Amino acid sequence: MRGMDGEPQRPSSRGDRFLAHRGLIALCCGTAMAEAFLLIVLAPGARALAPQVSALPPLAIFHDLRWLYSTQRSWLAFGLLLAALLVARAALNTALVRLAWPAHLPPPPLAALRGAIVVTALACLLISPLVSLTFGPCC
Amino acid sequence: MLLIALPLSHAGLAGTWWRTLPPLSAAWWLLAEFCVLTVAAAVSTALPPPDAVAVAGLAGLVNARAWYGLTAALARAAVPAPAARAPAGAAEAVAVPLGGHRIPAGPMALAAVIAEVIALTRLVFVFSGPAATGHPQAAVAWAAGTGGAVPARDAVADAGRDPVLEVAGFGSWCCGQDHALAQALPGTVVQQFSYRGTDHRGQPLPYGSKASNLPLPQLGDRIAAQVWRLHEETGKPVDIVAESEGTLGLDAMLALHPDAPVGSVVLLSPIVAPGQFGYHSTGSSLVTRDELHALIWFVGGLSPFGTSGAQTLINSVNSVGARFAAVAAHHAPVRLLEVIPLADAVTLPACPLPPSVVVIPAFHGELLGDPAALHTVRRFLTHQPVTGAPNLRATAEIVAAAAAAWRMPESATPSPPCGARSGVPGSGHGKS
Repeated sequence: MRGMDGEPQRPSSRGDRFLAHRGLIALCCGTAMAEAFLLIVLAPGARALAPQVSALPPLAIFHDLRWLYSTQRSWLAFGLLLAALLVARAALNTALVRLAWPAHLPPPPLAALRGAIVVTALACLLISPLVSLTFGPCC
Repeated sequence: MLLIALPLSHAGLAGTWWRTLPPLSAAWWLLAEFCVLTVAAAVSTALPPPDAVAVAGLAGLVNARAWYGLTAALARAAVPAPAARAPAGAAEAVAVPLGGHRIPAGPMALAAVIAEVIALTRLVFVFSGPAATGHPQAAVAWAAGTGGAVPARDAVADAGRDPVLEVAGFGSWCCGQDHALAQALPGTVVQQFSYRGTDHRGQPLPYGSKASNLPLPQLGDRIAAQVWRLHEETGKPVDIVAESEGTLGLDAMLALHPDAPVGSVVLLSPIVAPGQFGYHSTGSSLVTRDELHALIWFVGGLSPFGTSGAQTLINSVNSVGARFAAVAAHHAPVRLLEVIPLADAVTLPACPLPPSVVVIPAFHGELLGDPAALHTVRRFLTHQPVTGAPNLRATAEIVAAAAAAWRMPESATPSPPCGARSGVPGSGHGKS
């Protein structure tokens, strides 16, 4: 018997259904809906971006960087916002990994947060040129 | 973006990600999420703003499913079988790679992707880009039906319609265009605009592909000078067919020379809402500006135009492009047609297209070489009805709404080009 991901399902994993991960569902839906609500109030033209806040890491970081690049006005503000972004995104991703982790397997250690920050920083570095390219149409 | 994201799709979800390539399921979930988020953007843009909360909730559910599927696949791969049956306290087990090798497969895949992107960019310029230096021929005005170049004054005698000034886009050269417009308009004087200006007889000076790197005010001035010269020679208003960068120059001309004797205007592959997105609309974002300059420098180095090949133009667009476009939009009545290739729909703002827009199935640039576009332009300039394909308009609007997911956040839809619309294609007055 195989699961949706093409992996053989072990007997212990049969009880690990997606809908049982209520915390994961609540966090993903809640953050997306919260951002959508804020954008409707503050920037309705940007409401299409809201669901990306809880997307998989590369897409979510692309979302974060576009907001960072469109709001910062100085190197100091950029540095502070980037640091906050790194910590917040790494923390959210770590929480989502733990909530998505199969119930029958040992969860990842909290020390994974440190690695998540490094990974987030690396992803920011690699994706930031793409963010710059999304600025204004020119010729 | 997806090429860069793919090697990172499993990053951070497992401690040993850098030693492994992402599993197939990671690529699948990333692509599935990209599609779902794109559709969600289109739907939330089409619905009233309050409905965006519900759309975000549904997309969030898909996000949760993607996290669950990806994490489960990585957990199974990272945790040895015995650990799967171990008590929950044995958390360290997840950090042990199955393979045990220390080859940085993840970073190597990233490096390969980046190298591939750079190589593809270079290849695109090599195989489809314009010549680095043209071999300008003599300046000409083309009178349709003569079969060759003739001096403008001689051509005027045979001209039955308003003269037409053709303003080619970035990287063009004079006079290397294929005269397609002149051949499509019998009895009409068609003159090419020169980015270098005109000689003492009012003839466009030959120029190479690098001459189009001009600040917008200077570009607007030169277009106006050539328009006035054609007007003086013919006594008629001058129709303008502008493409890509030429549409920016036209905006500059209409903003700086509102009295220029302009008749009908055709915009091909127009640059929509220039300078309205990005840092100049939100403040002086130094980081973005510096990074964008570095990027332009790098990509320019891969192109035939060199590291500073478009810098002057881009800086000018960022500083005055939005203002010129706004002023031009309120210009005194101009009969207008905008021909937008479907591929450019990803750059359009998410709002209903104005009636002056016709969408054709094509890529950006050199639309006069496209028979459908040339036919549309000819009908418009000869005052015949222009009807675009309604299906393509709807498709372009859907693509524009979906692409909003991956553009810079906009606090509001840009105006122009979004705004009140009425009329039928090609009959609109005033630049919308």
